[in-house]
Amino acid sequence: MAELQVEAQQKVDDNNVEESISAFFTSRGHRPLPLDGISAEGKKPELAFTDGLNTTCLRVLRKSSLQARNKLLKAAMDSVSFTSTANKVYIALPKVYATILDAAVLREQGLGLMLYDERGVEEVLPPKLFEHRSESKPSLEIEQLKRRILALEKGVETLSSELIKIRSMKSLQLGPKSLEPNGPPVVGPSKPDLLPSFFEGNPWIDILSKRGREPEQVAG
Amino acid sequence: MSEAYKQAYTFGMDFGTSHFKFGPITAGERPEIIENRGYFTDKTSVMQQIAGPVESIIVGRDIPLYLESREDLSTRLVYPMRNGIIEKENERSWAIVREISKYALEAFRPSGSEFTGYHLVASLSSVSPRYMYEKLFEALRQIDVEYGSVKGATIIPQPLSVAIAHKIPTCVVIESGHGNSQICPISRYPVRNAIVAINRGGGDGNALTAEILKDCGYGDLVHEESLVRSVKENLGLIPADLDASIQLAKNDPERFRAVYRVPGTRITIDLAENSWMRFLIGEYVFDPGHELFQSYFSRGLRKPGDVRFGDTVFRGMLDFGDAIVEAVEGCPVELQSYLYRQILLSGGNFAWTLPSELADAAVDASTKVKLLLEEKGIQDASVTIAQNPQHSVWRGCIVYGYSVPVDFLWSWERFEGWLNFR
Repeated sequence: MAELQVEAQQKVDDNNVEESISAFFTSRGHRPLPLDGISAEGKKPELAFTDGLNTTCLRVLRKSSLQARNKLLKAAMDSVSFTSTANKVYIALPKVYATILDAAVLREQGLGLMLYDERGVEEVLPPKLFEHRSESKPSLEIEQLKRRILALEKGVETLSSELIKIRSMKSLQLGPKSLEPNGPPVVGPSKPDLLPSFFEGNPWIDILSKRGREPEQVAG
Repeated sequence: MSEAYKQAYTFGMDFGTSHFKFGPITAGERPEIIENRGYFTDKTSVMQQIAGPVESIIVGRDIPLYLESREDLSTRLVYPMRNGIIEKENERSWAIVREISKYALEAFRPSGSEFTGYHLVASLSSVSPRYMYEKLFEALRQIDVEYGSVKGATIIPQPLSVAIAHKIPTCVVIESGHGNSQICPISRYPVRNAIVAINRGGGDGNALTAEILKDCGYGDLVHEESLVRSVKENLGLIPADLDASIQLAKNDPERFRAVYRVPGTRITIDLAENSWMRFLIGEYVFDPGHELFQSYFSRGLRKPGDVRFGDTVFRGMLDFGDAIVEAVEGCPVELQSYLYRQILLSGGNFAWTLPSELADAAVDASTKVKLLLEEKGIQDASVTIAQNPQHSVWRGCIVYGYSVPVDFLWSWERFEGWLNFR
């Protein structure tokens, strides 16, 4: 639905059209955006704004720049490319050129149209809202996932260190045993609940835990 | 260095001839298994130019993604331990051992800040010469310098690992892999000077199977080693007595007829009237001395010869019965009867199928070994096939690492203990 609004505070011409359009948007809660991050296919719009949620780009055409026949068509085509980065895209042009422009074509492409003349700036065709805020959405999700992975890693670390403590406590509970009265203590290997089944009843655990604590007996 | 830390961070590695099994104590019942091989990438290939630089050696499950032309696979795809032994100067194979060890340790790098390196137990063939121990220790030390992932390491013979995993302190372990077999008596320690090595393994069974396939008109298939191995595993039978089994098969060819359909293909192999030859395959693995094999040797089948690796002579034509007797008789006399009571067969070369309808002529591996021992006058031998042969060496490594005290330091006289890098 066309929102017919006119800004008539000052006479608008080629020299101050951008200033007038800025005033139009800022009065509606938008703030200007630097143009560096908005380029599409190497082209930059003349103006860009954000309302905190959506980005709006404008291709501003002056009377002086529309002398060539195909200039308007080229500008319209350029504007379509901005829909890949901005949520709303307008073409702003002198009102006298409105008659040679088919608004249906702009509507089909989702472009909005703003006209200006000496009386001010008006929006005659609202643009379509292009949803690509999703670019920031995944990064938000990734951030959330990263935080969850960090939390999980911390949890695993805590569990792992607790497991080591439990194992040491179990070993100590069995008490140090020594083959020789004054020999080095032998930590009797226990079978914590988490050990695999091949530890169960394995006589080698006792044999191997005495390595270095018994008289030398190398077979062979 | 605490015992509790070592027990929590014990890591096992089994360098098998075909597969490499690895994992920490926390892996549970089963290790990770990858093929014990590495692929040397072609830096000059067009694909590498396009895809960008990659590691010069690829190991692990990603290898198939890098395989290029089939022609140069044999030079680029290297199985470093195909014969159980790596020559000292074979730098390509040692590079793969380093890479595959690094791969294993990084696959299980714990995230906790208390981790300061694993206590690693690696298992090698019992006939590995000293330089293999030195080279492997050096590779692990380099990995620790680079990644800080190995605090200390030890190396134990594979038969000892098998005995540990099977909870048997006194036994004879026969480990038979692709390239060779080792008969190792164990009495709490491996009896090193009684070990008998045989220069014969699953690969020799494959070679004879290929000759049989040629004789039966399937010569065009013998260049695919994996196919030949499948034929051996599916059609090969171990005879109780070779002459008697062949006679039975010739008298009733239809009952013994060997037909194998290669899965996923249109290929069917039918030995037809030559189906009696399936008994040759099993017999050859256990006892290649029968006169029937002479005709194959004379027609070009490689006769397993005696070879020397390091200080060990690998015997080519010794049958498993003689080999066990020789190994046991290398031990103290009073130990010998205990050893015959626990003979453990381990390794892929003992995994043979036994169709129940042919039980009058074919036997399983343990029965065959028992029969061979009976021929030598050993009547009361007890022979069992190791359960979970793929996992048992790794399991033994984990029990060893968990149990042996961390301050029991490596000795080159005993070939055991921890070699601590830090």
